[in-house]
Amino acid sequence: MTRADDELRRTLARIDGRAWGVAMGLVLGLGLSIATLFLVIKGGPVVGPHLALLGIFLPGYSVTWHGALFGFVYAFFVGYAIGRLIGVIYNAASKPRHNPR
Amino acid sequence: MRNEHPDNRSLNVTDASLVDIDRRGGPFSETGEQRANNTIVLAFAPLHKAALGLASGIVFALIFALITFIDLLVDPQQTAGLGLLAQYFYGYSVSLAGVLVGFAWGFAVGFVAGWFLAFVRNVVLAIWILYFRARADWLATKDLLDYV
Repeated sequence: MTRADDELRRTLARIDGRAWGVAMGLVLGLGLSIATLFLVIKGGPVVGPHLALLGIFLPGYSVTWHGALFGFVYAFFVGYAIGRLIGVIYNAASKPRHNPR
Repeated sequence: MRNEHPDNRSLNVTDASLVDIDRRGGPFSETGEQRANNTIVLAFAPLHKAALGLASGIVFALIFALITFIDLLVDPQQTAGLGLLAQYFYGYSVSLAGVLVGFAWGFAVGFVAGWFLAFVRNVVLAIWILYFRARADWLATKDLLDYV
């Protein structure tokens, strides 16, 4: 194995920040909207009193039909930001150090 | 200055060391077959466990500190009950000190989660590669007895 091959093999994968952002955004967005819709469909005298507390952090969010849509948009943006941030920090931290030989 | 080889762009690899390899007449300047091999090597490259741990640790820590801080700012009659997290995170409370404690706990939990995620991903990938190698070897030699 040549030195170049060896260096290439030791090169670590860099992650795509945009892909991570979209993936995290979809996971959080769909997770929140499905959780909201589940509670709305389930119904009851008081619908989702605990999930509704998210309204403190996400102004305008509520456990209702339109709250599910609102929550999806909110959570998608939050997830996208988280994914992008993880991508940026990971790529900065995993940058291979070049040792001149 | 950062030079990007066309192959590097398509692989999202912009590291200077790889471009150096290319300039020395290394893998990226060779035949199509070797280029394809390099593509495969990079596609199956392992994730850096400590780096993913660090990245998710920082993000978790910021989220934990931020939600604690927001909960501090809102009307005390309308809190989200974050104080219950003290059941799991020793020393945590919805206070200014709790912001720091939450940051530390968030980093610890995020680091472990990210490190473990990368570890599991690398193990699964290694098993997958092993399986395909074994299958390829078997396919290459399964008709061996026909020639005996």
